Amino acid sequence: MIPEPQLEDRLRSALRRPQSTAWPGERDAFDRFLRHRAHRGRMLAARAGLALVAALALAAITPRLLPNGSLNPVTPTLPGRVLQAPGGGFEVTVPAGWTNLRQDRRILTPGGDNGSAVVLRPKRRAADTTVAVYTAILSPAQYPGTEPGHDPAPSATADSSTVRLDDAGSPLGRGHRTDGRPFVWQTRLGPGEVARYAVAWPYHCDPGQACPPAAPWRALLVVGRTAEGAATGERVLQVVRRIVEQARPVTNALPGGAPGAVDLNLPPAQGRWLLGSGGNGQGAWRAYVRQGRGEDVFELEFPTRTTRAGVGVRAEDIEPTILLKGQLMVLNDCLSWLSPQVGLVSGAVPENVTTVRIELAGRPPLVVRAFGQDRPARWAAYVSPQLPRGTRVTNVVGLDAAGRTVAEAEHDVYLSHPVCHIFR
Amino acid sequence: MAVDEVEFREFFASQYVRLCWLGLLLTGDRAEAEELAQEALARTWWRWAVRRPDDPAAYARKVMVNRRRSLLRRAGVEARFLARARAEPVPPPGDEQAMVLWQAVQDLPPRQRAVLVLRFHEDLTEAEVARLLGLPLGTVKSLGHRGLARLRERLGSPDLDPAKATRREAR
Repeated sequence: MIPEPQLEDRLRSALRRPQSTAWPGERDAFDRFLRHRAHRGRMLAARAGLALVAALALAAITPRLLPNGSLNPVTPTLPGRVLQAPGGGFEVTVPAGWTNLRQDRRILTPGGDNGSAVVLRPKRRAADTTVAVYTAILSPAQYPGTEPGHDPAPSATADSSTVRLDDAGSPLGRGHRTDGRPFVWQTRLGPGEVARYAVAWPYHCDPGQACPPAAPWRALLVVGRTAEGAATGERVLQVVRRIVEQARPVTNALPGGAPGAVDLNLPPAQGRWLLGSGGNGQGAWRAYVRQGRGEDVFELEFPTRTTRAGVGVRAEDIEPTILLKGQLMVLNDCLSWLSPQVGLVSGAVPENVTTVRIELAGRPPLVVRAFGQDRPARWAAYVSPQLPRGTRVTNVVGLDAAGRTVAEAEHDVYLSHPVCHIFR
Repeated sequence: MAVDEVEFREFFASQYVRLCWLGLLLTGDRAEAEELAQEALARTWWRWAVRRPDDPAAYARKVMVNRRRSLLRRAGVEARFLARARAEPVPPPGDEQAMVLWQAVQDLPPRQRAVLVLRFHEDLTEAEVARLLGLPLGTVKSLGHRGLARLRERLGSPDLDPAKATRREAR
């Protein structure tokens, strides 16, 4: 057992900077700083003229990207390391001078398989410089090959989980790879973003599987970013264009598809969704999931308690990596304003969890339904009935529709403590 | 306003390694930590050129933490992948227990890690951490609590000492 103060002390000790240890390269650090500062100064000075440079650069590359034109490889194909993203249905060859930041192996969609994105960076460090390659469902109105102003499938991707290229940037350019795959592209999308390309990369379902209507509208997105100057931007653009031309379809991007569950790797919609409600009177609750660009949050709101902002809402970060590892989120709350006091056990669960079994010490387990699977949120939720003060929860288990155990409670330190037990 | 180069150089010498270590704890990557430290100090210098910050060290630390946060929160779908694409952590010198703990800290979600690093490496109070991260105090407390709980679990602790447990209830 590690009492909290002991752990805090150990943490303090482990995180302490060893006084005797020098930082590698410390001696040259100030010289590098002077170069860094000078570079930043030049960037600031050049900012005023950057728009002109960008316009000139755009004019220079436009002839090669004329509507319906083909994109010539900028650099001859060289043998290089191949990175495959089987979930995303593509593989790319790493260009010379670049390396992979990390091939992502997790998809945030519950039940997702590994391999959905590749992120490249230059071997020689450059500030915020990356080329990200991934697949996503693109708005059919912007899909490569679609006539401008035409929406071929307004209902196919009616939910908000499609990607739209930013309307604030330059108009969409259109072209074809040498193998005939159409693509659209856009530049000047915002600070730091060099270019964004979307190549037609439809998802092929395994024959015999139900294929979602959005499957034909999947695209390969190649996005270049840099916080450095125009020269680096041009290098990034070349790499982006090279990947657009050379990326190869694999697994679910090939006719015949790939065996296994269909996973379109839909990006999560943003917003706050009411997943369900329950209780009554002073014990009434509403369960929400709030999704943003950063963390997702599970919220259990007690409407009769929300007298001012932040009061009457139990909010906890959802940690996808934990939940997707087959662990359950378990919150143990005391409704201290009720007499007698009662507790609730609640949390967010992956969408494949349909029922949750709450095991109690000395009492038969409770089985509650998970709810909210029909909402655009990526998570469902569960909330227990009111538990009398002193009830001890021993475990919480998530079951799928077939009754199989698919998740168990994370060993949360609060799980085994009696409901509404007050420590003094 | 001209920057006193001698004063700034002294400031640099006193802060560079400290910021590198903070960056290493936040990112787990030595090169990324150096980049963050250099960027924080460069921004501090530019700020200094306009008006000297009241507390330049705190200013540089804030720039660094915010810069790290903005990288994590960068808009766009690909940022979700970037944010989770962490480099392999570099273990610190020290005994085996410290290395295990270091690894466990690196495995925490970014916000929990940031709170614990600022609390126990920088010795900031929860209120100071909340101000620095721009989060409500309650959220910082919750993140710290869950981070410690996760560490305790990773370190094989069977349970929390009941005498030290804190009651959690919906407010």
